[in-house]
This record gives sequence, structure tokens and C-alpha cells, in this order.
Amino acid sequence: MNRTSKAGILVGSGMLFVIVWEIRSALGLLVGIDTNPQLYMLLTLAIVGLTAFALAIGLIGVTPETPADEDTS
Amino acid sequence: MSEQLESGAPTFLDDYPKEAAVVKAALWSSFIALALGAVFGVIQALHRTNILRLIDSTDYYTVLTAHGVLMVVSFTIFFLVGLFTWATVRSFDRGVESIRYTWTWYGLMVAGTLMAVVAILGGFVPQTDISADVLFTFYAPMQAHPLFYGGLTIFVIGTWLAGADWFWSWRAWKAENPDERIPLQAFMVLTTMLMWYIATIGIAIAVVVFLLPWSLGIFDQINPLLTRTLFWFWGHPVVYFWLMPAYLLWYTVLPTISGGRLFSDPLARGVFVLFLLLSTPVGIHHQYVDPGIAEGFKVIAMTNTMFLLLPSLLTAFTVVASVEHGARQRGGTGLFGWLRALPWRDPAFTGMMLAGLMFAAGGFSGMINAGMNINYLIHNTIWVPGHFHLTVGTAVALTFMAATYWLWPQLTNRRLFSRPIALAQVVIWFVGMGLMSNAMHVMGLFGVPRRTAEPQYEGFEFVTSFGSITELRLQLAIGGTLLFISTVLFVSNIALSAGAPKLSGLGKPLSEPLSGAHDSPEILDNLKLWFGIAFVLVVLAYSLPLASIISRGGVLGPGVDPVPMIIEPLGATLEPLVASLQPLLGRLAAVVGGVGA
Amino acid sequence: MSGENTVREIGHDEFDPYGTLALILIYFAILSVMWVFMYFVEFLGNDLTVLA
Repeated sequence: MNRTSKAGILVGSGMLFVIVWEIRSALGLLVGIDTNPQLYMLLTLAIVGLTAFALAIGLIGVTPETPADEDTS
Repeated sequence: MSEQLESGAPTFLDDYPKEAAVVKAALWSSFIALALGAVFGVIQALHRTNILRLIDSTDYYTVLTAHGVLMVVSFTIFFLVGLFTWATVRSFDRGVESIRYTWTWYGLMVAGTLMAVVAILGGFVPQTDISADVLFTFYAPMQAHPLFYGGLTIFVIGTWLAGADWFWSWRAWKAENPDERIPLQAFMVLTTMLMWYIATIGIAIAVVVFLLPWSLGIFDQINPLLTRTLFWFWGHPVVYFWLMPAYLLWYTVLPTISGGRLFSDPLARGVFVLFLLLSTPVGIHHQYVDPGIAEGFKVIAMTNTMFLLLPSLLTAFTVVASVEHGARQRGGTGLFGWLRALPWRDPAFTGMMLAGLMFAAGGFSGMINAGMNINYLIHNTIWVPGHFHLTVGTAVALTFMAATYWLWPQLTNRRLFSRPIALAQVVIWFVGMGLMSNAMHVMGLFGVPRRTAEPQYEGFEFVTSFGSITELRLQLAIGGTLLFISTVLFVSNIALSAGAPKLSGLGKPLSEPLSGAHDSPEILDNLKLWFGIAFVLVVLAYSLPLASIISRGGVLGPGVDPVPMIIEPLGATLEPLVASLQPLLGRLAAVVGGVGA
Repeated sequence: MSGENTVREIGHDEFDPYGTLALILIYFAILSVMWVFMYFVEFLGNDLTVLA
């Protein structure tokens, strides 16, 4: 059941990327945990990519309350 | 793609073709400044991170000045005058009183901008003595070519006349509608302009009385603390001058495109009145580390600043509540589930929401900046550019771009070239700014300075509590590059829209507030009263500090040599000349005396 | 006035923005935590800073 629009995936992925990446700064400053930058970046991209992929094939995702927004394009 | 917002209504262009031409011209001026400013921005981002150094480091301040002035003076204020003209004409539902007058102030603003930009770009041409490497914060002892100050003056006069244009419309409208409340958008325009009139007193005195004569060589020296203080007298309210058009869009356009209605018209009016009252008497909070201003005055500025958080928090509540109203009308349910029902595929909506989200983050770093003690932690570090790239650089800039996607078709009767590219553009801006601003804030905490071409020092390493400076530099550079790409996408999308076929019925009416103007107290519309109170507050906040600065240093002293020296003070050049002529004159006098006797 | 996507009209009296309240409370919580961190850890925990 693929109800997540491409636009939703794009916007969501952008926000998810920023949130996950900024957690690295928060961990470093607040808790003093120095995560490996390359590994963390790969992990971030993997999380965002997998989420986007799962949304695209309809594995996860929410059923929009209003179908009105979902046009056919 | 089906145009879900299409209404079949006539557009602004259909109703007011002459005014639409001015609005379009102003917006184009704004976008040209944005595009140029973005080029200088990406050059800087790559230069100071030592990724790619296209320019010589001695030219860095020319680039920095061009970026600052083009972005926060030209881009923002041209957009403002375009938007405010649209808002005034739309909400009064009457054309401007004289279209020739309207073009006159627009022409003055263009002329002033060109003069200032020529002066700034002259810094790249060493053969001329024209330069203005004074940054956007152009106070003494930094000295620019007179052309720069002249251009600024003409530009500001243009904005004054623009404000007068809108007040003129208000008077004419009021004569015909004596018992009606001022329409909300017009109310926002008028209160913002009243704030601007008060604020520009500072910069007008600084430029016309001190900086311009000084750069012409009429004065040898001026009091640097005085021009700094006068600059910040204007320099803080100007940030609200950038922000108020964004607020106007959040209050009056965003509720409609989210499918709802503004939660409360009286609250919106109250917020704009608070900004009129509190925007100006806070400027000294930019001068927490300036010696020569007593701590007590700084405490007063800090207190006013903290009060200034109130209207922004009110805005956060009202705007989000209006969006929630839209979501619930679209069928959204649950504590957070309503967020899913919003029109995220609409670039105008998504852009404004992402801008608002970034503004919330900027509110946090702003609180740190505003605290008198904690400010010392980040003062003059790159944290500060990190902060204002969230506020003016995203809350304002991204809102303007998103709103353009909504407004442009109504000014041209043509659809946008590509809505998917527009959506990608706002998301790229958000991601780019997330990276760049995060890196700037973190580097600021590690003590990396701002306004520096090469923040690398021999025998000194910045200590990071996590990661490395190299990584943060890379993050800043990637973010800056994404922002540049986003700007290119925006400007080309708008430019390419000119090739779209002409359509009719692209007008998009705005919804009425849930709680309308008739619910708000009449006193809110008493502009004279609010202007008077605002003026008194400014006098209270500034008269003592200014008196103390002048009484200690004098109006023109204690002076320092201007940086860079452009025209040598006339006195210094004339003195040896006069000295060498003196014997000659003496002999002449003796001869004349002899003849007479 | 209502858009094409409006599935139900909600007037002033029947609208309680509790979702907004929840979001604002979360924002305040984040602000407080970050301010406490900035003040007590970064500000008080750092050595004197030389201002350029």
C-alpha cells in the first residue's frame, strides 16, 4: 500500500537527514561522545536511504487522513 | 500536476496591472541581488574553509561586504517593498495613488543600490581608489568611498518614500471608509514602516552627519563609539525589517495555503505593535563587549531584548495554531497526526514551514546571544553568522522564496516552470543550512572567529571536544555549496517561468481569520499612539548612553585613523603647502605694505 | 471560506489547538535543556576566552 507521495519522501528525508546528523553534534557537545565522522555519515545516509526506500515501496508509512492531497502525479 | 490551489479567481495582475509591474520589478531586483550574493557567499564558504581559494585573501573583505550588503540590504529590502506594495494594494483593494510616484521611489532604490555596489566592487580593481570593504556593519573606523555612503543614503530615502506611498494609500482609503478597521496586511505594513522611520534616524545621522563628511575629508576624525552606537540603533530594528515581511506572509498567506484560517487577527495586530515598540530600544545588545558604554545601559538593552522574545513566541503559537486549523479542516486528527494531513507537496507551504522550523532553532541561539554574560562565550565567533543564517538566512530568505512560488503566478498569469524543482529547492536549502549553520555554531563554541579569511594560525590549534576542525570545515563548505545550488535552482525556476503559457484564473484569495478584526480593541489601530510610545521608549533607552558617549569623547573624537585610508584629510595635505607659502606671503605683504607707505 | 481539500469546516469555537500546545511545550523543553547546557557546561565550564 504505497500512500507516501514522492514529495513526502523528499521532504521527510531532508528533515530526517538534518535531525540524525545534528544528533552527532549533540552527542559530542552534550555527552562528550566522539563518534567516528565517516562511520556516522555512512550510518546517517543508510538510515535516511533505507527509510526513503521503505516509504517508496510502501513497507512503512502512514495512511494519510485525507486522500484529497494525494493526486495522481 | 494538477493545480490544487487553482481557484479560477482573477489574479493581482488582472486587477492591478500597473502595480503588478512595480512589484515584479522590485522582486526581480531582489532576486538579482540574491543570485550575486550567493556567488560571493559560496566563494567565502570555500575560501575560509581552505577547500578552494579562488580569490586572494586580501580581497576577502570585498567579497564579505558584497555578500552582506547584497543579501541583507538589497535582497531583503527589495523583496519587502515589492511585497508591501502588493499587500497594501491588495488589502485596501485600491491602486496606488500615483504610479509615477511609486516608480520614483523604486528608481531611487535602484540608483542607490548601484552606487553602493559599484563602490564595493571597486575593491577588486586596485587601479581605482574606489573601495568599500567595510562589511555590512559599516561603522568607523572602517571607511568606505563616499559613493558607498551616498548610495546607501539614496536607497534609504527610497524606502522612506515607499513608506509614504503606503501611508498615502491609507489616508485615501480612510477618507472613503472612515469607520472600518485597517485591513490586517495594511496594518502590518504601516506598523513596520513606523518602526523603520524610527530606526533609520540612527543610520541617517551616522551616515549623513558623520561617515559621509568624514570620507569626503571634511572631518579628520569622528567618534567611533558614537557611529557604532548609531549603527546598532538601526542595526537591530533592521533585522525586524527583514523579518516583518516574513511574518506578514506567515500570518496572512500560510494559513490559507495550509487549508485553514488565521487563528486570531487581534493577536497578529498585537504582535506587530509590540515589534514597533520594542525593536529599536535594544540595539546596545550588539555592543555587550564595547568599552565606553556603562553596564547598566547594557542591562536595560538586555531586558528589552528578552521582552522582545514575547511577540516571536506569540507568533509561533498563532501561526502553528492556524496551520493546525488547516490540517484539521483537511481531516487531520490526533495529537501529532494532524501534521500528516498538511500539503507538504506544495513548495510554498513546505518552504515556509521549514523556514519556521529553522527560526525556532535560531530563537535558541538568539537567546544565547542576548544574554549579557553568556554572550561572551560566543562574541565575535562564527557562532554569530551561524545564528543569523538561521534567522535572516533561512526564516526570512526561505520564506521569501517559498512565498514567491505562491505569489509569482499571480503577478505574471503564468504557472511556475516546475513545482517539483521548487520543492527540491526548499528542501536543499533546509539541508544545506542544517549542515552549514550547525558547523558554524559548533565551531563558534570552539572559538573559531568570524570575519576571517584564513582562520588557521601557526602554533595554535583549536581544541575540539569531538570530531575535528577539518570535519567541521568540510561540513560548512558542503552546506554552503548546497545553499548556492538551491539559490541557482530558485532563480532559474523563476526565470524559466517567463516561458510558461499565459493562463487565466490563477488568483488565490486569502481566507478570513477565525477571530476577525472586529474582535480586537480599537486602540490597536491607533498608530499615532503606538508611534508616540515607541518614540518615548527609544528616547529613554538611548538618550543617556548617547549623552555619555558624546560627553566623554566629544562629537568628533577621540578619533582614530580611518581604515583603509582613501582620501587623505584635507588639512594634512594643505598644511605643508601653507607652510611653504608662508615666506612668500610674508614678502608679498611687505612689498604691498612698502608700496602703501 | 474553504479550500477544495476541506473535508470539514471548523469554526472558532470548536477549534482547540492542543496539537500546537504540545509542539510548543516540546520546543520549550528543548530550549530549557539547551540553555541549561549552554550556561552550566559551556559558559561556566570553559576557561576565560580571549576576545579578538
